[in-house]
Amino acid sequence: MPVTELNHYLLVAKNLERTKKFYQKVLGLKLAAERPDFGFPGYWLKAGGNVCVHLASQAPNRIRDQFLLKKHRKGANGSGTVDHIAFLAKKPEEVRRRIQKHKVEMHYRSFPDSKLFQIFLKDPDDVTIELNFLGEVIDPSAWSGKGSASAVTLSKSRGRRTAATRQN
Amino acid sequence: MPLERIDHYLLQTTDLERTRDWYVQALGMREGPHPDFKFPVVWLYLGDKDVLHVSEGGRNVSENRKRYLGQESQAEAGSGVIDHIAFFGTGLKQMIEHLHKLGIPFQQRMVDDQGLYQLFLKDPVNDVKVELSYANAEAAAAGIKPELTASEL
Repeated sequence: MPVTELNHYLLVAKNLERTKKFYQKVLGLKLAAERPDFGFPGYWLKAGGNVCVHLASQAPNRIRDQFLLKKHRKGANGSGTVDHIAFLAKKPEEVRRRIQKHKVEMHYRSFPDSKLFQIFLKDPDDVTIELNFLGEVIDPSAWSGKGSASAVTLSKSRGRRTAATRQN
Repeated sequence: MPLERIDHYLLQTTDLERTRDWYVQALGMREGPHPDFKFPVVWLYLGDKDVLHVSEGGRNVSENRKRYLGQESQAEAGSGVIDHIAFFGTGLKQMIEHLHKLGIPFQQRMVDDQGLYQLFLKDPVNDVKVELSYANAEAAAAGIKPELTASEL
């Protein structure tokens, strides 16, 4: 089974610090130290040792919008603040064939430095789904075109920020 | 009190069958058993675990669903169709005391035929509904009673 388990959700918070406090103080989640520098503010939170909540802020941020592949405006509330739901998955080629067979548009993103490959797609109600393939490094040339609307490879630059290279 | 893991999310949709078919076909989920909530639901599984609950949404929400779960959003597209995100934990009694101490309102529900005891609360900053799910044996042992059980609908 290529998609194996539910992993996390990402919430674009009205007030990042207050939201972090809610998850820590009310729900008892623990702040995760391992969040990479994405170039936009946010936190990762853990339950039972696993990171399962990702937070970002509604404060306007171009890098965040580029990263999340959509514009987030201030003022969203309720579950509209959830940007995506993420799963773990295996066998990227098999998953791609399955998605293409059903003519669903997808985007993908490769983090060769951290051996992470991701596919993004929308469900019929326009909910963004993120699939995480841990330990996978793909050949970007084999993935360009054909049903993948865009591809972004992120690699660490000498500066602090993560560099994004957009293909096709 | 500790929450152990993310458990599932609930989508409300105007087209239950289409949403089910998409998750089955595109993502390879499997439709599986679910409790009788007295309103239509589909539970979708990865391996042995239900990870996605789907119910009717938008204009198509039944009275029973509104009584049990409410309806936070009229949205028919985008992440506003997510009704709630659920975590599974242990230590129901401690969590209830903790929420009382913090003055955080919550609702209590029980799904008798699945052994589930649920607390629903709102993230007050973003108004996102969060479900905390426990084994209902914990509630029985501590003499905790819900406001509503699924079998009463």
